[in-house]
Amino acid sequence: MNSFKDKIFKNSFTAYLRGVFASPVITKGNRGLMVETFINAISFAFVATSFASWGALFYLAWLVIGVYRRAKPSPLGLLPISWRRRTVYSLLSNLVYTLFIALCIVVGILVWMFIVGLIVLCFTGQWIFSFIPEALPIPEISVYGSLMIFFVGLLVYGCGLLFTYINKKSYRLAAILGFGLFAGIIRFVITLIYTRDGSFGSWLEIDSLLQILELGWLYVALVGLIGVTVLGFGIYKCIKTEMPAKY
Amino acid sequence: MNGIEINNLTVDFGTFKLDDISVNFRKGCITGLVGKNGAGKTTLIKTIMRQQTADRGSILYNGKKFAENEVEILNSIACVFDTPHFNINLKPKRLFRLFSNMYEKFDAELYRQLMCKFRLPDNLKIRNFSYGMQKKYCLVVALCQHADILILDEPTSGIDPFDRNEVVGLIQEYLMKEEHTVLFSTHITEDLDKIADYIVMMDDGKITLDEEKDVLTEEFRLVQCGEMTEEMKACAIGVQKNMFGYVFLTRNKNISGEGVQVKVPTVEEIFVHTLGKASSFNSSVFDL
Repeated sequence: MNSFKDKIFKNSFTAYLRGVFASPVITKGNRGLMVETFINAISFAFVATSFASWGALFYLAWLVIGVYRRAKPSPLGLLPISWRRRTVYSLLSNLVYTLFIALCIVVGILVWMFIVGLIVLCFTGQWIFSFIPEALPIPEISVYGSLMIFFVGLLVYGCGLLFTYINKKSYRLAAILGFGLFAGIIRFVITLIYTRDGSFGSWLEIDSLLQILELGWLYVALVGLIGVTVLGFGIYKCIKTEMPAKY
Repeated sequence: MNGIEINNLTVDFGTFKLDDISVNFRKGCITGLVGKNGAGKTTLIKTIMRQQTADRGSILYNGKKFAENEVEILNSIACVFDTPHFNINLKPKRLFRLFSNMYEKFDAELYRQLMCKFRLPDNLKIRNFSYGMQKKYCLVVALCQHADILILDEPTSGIDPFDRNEVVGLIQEYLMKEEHTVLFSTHITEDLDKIADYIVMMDDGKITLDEEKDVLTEEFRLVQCGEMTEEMKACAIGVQKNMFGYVFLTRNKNISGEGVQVKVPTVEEIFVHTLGKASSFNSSVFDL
C-alpha cells in the first residue's frame, strides 16, 4: 500500500509540480517582476476576452509557470531528470495547473453564487438559484465553427508555450504585450462590424459567416496552419531550452 | 580521476567574462576557492551547477559529460548557493517533502539529526530564519543528499563561531569517503587554513593561482620590517605600508635582519598580497 501511495505521490512528476512553486522568485520590492506580472495580466485579459477560447487559461498558466521556471538556481533546475522527461513534464504541468485554475474559477463562481443566494435567502426567504438541465444553452455550431474554435485555442496555447520559452526578457515581454494588444485590436475591429442582427463577434455569428462564405474552409485552414506552426515553434523552443548544453 | 574537470570554460556577459578557465577539483580533497568580490567565483559555481550557460569549454563530472549522464550527475552533485535556491516563503517541513521526493539518496534520518543539531525550527518559514540559520538549512539539505560532489558557496558566512566549527567538522567527516569532492568558496579563509587541501584563486574572471595549500604556504614567507633594503625590494610581492613599517610576501626564505619578522603566511595573507594591490587601512601602498 505504501509503495502504491509512494508511486502516486512520490514520483518525479510530483517533485516537478512541487518544484515549480518552490522556486526562489523574489516578490517583495521586485520591480522587474511587477512589470512582468502587469504585462502578463494585460495580455491575458485581452486574449481571454478577444479570443474567448479554451487556450486562454493555458496561456495564463504558461505565463505564470514561466516566471517560476526561469528563476535560477532553483529546485526545478536541479531536479535529477533527463531533458526529455523535463520537456514532457513542462507540458503536463501546464495542463495540471490549467485544470487547477479552471477548478478554482468554477469553485469560486459556485461559492460566490452560494453566498449571494444565502444573503437573498436571509432577506427574502427565497432561494434564488436552481439548476434546470433542459435550460442549458447548447449552441448548434457547425464543423467549421468547431474547427475554428479549436484552432484559435491551439494558436493561443502555442503562443503561450512559445513566449514562455523566449529567454531574453525584452523580447519575451514585447511578444506577450504585442500578442495581447493584437488580440485587443482584433476584438475592437470585430465590434465595429455590424450585421443585420447587430454587432458581430460571437462564435455563433462567426460560425454562420463561415458557413455562408464560399471559401470559409480556407479561413479555417489558414488559422489551423498558423496555430500548428506556432505550436510547433513553441515545442521546438521548449526542447531547445530543456536540452542540456554540450559543454 | 578528478571530481570536476574544467577545460577552457568561457562565460561572457559582455561587461564581465569568465575567461578561458581550466582547473581541476580533485577527488578526495577540499579545494578552497578565493577571490575578491566580483572575481567570478559564484558565476563559476553556477556554471558548474548548470544554472548558467557557458559559451565555450567543457566540464566533466567524475570523468563524465553532463549531456550524456545528466540524471546521474544531478543526483551526485549538491550545492549550497550564496542565497537559498528555493522559495523562502515555505517551511522546512514542506521543503523536506520536496527534497526527499527529488533525490533518491536523500537521508531523512540525517536531516532530522542535523535540524536538531543546528536547532532549526521545522514550523517557521525560511524567510523568518536569520541569515546564519538560512545558511545552515541550505547546508543540511546539501549534506542529506549524500552526493559525491559538494559545492559550497560561502557556507559559513553569517554562522556563529561555535556552529562554524561544527560545519567544518561535518565537511571533514563528509570527506572521509575518498570518492567525495568538495569545492569550498569562501571569504573566511581561516576555514581554508584548517581544512583545505588545494587553493584556487580567481581574479577578474581568470584563475591566478592553483596550488596545494601546504606547498603554497611553504613557498611564501610574510615579512614585516621597518625599512626595506634593496634585496627586499627586489623580491617583494604586494607590499603594504602600515604604521609599523612594511609588510610583504616573498619567495625568498633567506630574508633576515634587525627588526625583521618572518613567518609562514596564512591563506588570507597570500590572498591579500598576491591579489590586493591596495589596502584600505594603509596610508600608502606600492608594489615593487
